[in-house]
Amino acid sequence: MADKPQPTLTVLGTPPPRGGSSESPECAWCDPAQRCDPADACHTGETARRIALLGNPNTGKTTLFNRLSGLRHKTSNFPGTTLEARVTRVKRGVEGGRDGDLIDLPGIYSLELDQLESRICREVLAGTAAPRGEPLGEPECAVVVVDAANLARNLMLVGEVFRRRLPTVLVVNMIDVALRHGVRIDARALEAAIGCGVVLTNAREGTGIDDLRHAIRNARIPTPFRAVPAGGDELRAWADEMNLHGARAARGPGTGTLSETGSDRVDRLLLHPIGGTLVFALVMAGLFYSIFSLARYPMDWLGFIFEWAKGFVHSWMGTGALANLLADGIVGGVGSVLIFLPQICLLFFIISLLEDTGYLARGAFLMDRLLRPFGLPGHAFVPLLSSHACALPGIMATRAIPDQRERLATILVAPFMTCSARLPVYVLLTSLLFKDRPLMAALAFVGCYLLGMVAAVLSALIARRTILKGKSRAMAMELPTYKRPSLRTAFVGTFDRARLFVRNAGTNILVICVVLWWLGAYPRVTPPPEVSTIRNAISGTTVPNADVYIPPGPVADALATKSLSSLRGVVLVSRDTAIAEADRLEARHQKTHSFLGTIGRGIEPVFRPLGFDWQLTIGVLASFAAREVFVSTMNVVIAGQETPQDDAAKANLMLQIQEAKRSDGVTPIFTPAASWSLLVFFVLAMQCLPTLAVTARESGHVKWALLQLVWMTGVAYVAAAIVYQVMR
Amino acid sequence: MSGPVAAPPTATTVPLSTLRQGQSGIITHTHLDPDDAALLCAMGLCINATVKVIRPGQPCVVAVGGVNEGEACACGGTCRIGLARGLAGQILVIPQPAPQQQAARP
Repeated sequence: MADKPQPTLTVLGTPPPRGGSSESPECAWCDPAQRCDPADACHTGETARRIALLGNPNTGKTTLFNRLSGLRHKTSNFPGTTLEARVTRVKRGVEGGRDGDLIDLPGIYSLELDQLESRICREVLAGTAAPRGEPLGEPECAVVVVDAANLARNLMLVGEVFRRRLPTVLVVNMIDVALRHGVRIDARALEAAIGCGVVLTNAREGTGIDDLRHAIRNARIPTPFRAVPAGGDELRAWADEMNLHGARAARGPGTGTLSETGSDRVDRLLLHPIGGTLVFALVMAGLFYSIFSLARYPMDWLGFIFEWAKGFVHSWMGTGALANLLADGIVGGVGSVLIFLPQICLLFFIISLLEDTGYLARGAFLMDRLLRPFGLPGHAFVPLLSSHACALPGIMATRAIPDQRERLATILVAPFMTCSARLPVYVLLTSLLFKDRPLMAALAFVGCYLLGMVAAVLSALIARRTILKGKSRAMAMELPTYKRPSLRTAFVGTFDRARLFVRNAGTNILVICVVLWWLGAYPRVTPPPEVSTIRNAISGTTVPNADVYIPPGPVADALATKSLSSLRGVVLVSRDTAIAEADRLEARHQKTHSFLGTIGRGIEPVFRPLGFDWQLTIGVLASFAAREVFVSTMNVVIAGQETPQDDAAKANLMLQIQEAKRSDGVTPIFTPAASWSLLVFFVLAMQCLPTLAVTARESGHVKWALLQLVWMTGVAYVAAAIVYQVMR
Repeated sequence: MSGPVAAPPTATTVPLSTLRQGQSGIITHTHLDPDDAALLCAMGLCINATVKVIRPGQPCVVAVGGVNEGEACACGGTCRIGLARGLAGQILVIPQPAPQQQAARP
């Protein structure tokens, strides 16, 4: 081991007494109840110490981090990667001193492996990498978390860290589990052997956390009684030797033999090809039901709140440009995304619980056989399943996939899965295609789901053989012992995901929604003559709330079916009907002459091979923000009303859409060929800007979002064109 | 299994995937590529490590023991590694006699 000068680490002398002294000033970084020495680093303007937290997977590292951070942490990525980085401020202990920024590094088995996680850990320890937004610099302390019940293997990583010559603290976690299995850790003996601070913790219960804070403050460069070898068999022997000093059999001879445990007996069922798959299917059905069905109630409440907020803004500010921007652009736009928050929270809460029990690792093995032929790992199953509710939580759930290429492939194809936002479009189109034939409509529905799945796995296969080419990671995983999940960990993890989602909705997605709303709402155009005719007729009525006489002409002809009576071309309609008709015509005129409408008419030739006229093109463009917008846009463009109020109105609207004609006045907009083409387009197209924003965030680069957009739109375009050209 | 350093297979070695439930073996050699071998070694599946098959098939679940003969497992016998069947087939082990056979020896 090369000698290296001791880093300048602030190691304080005698801690100030609890409660502080009269000479000590207040410190913004310190506990108000404490006072510390003016010479301390926290008073000299020095930055917080950087502390790297690392360890093997399944050592309780995340639980420990959550214990130290609570809800106060920042989540980002390591630049250019999909790897998540969490940073929290660790407050000084009761003795005073500087705070530290604790960086939670990915779980690794070795620093020397040719894997992204190992590379990132190596670089962070060398000071050449840092989470996004954090300055580069070598950490002043490394905290290595090891599993008390698996000390020998974990100590190999510890040895590798020791060779970095950083002040180090060894955290022996899950001491309760070790003791249950007959292993007792002698902290003093271990500390004497490895020559650095050793802290015994049970992060789940919060035991040893204060000791850990103290140890971090007093971390020193390890001085093991035997130098750490470079690696290989020597390092293994070193780890075994250190283990012999620290771990003792608590129950005498026989302890620690490779005998069958309770978890092994449970695994006989849960890993069984048939029984295990059945149980997995049941668990996944429960998960799917929760995010699809249980989340509906809070989603409805949120929808109600946003509708109320929109109404409140309008009633408060009227219908001016600012009110429209605030109500329809900002509240409406962000509300349409935040409405998915309950699904995201529920999904991550359940996933966290399942992961904590140790079951998800088993599930990944079961599904690996299914997905491996397409270049995806078993871990991809849960994200892909979740994407059937909404691609946003699905993509966020890909963080459980350890391999970067496999994770990117899963992110890229997840939006192919039929999300709930597609359902209104499917309902509209299958109803048009199979009127009064519910069985055929149901089969078409199932076909849409299958088409999405097939497109996803084939796209994944293509991606893994081209742009994401590379050897799949060996399917070898530690299977943790089954245990009771920690609600605290699940809550903290869920809160973290929800916070990320809300932040995203409040920034990128907000801008996107406002821009699309503006394109659909502006420029403001003069209402058509028909509207003036109706409004003049209404204002000409001197009796309040009286029925309205519409003079002869096209407007009166159009209202003939709604008239109370008619005589010589003059129709009498109720005041409400007249107002509704005027609003309808105005909304339709406004939408078709908006920027979006103009663009739609301009690029109609592009969509002509798919059988879309300018009205369908406007619907497709408007639904680029969110798929479900297609239905309301078509309602406005064709019928001039966004949401019908009752069943009769809905039936009438459906009839209007069915009979709507193209510009030639003869050809229906929704011919069977055009409807099938549109259906295929919506199954395959990337019509969801929030998903693109989340893809860019989760993949670490906007290029992946653009690739996703181009690929999905391209596939949708070609498939829809083929369908139309074959069926026309 | 630190890279290719391993004893060549002998007549007594068999793939790990062929061991029956409850049967133990000592890893002697692998046909894994260096990256996979390094990962498995970091997980405890090193040359000379004792493994016991807890569940054969897909996945092949093994318990990992120490690398020294007769050494009890440092993890209290609780560490379990799941291996895809193909991966287990590339790990060669010398099967160990069952405990009762060992006891019967003089």
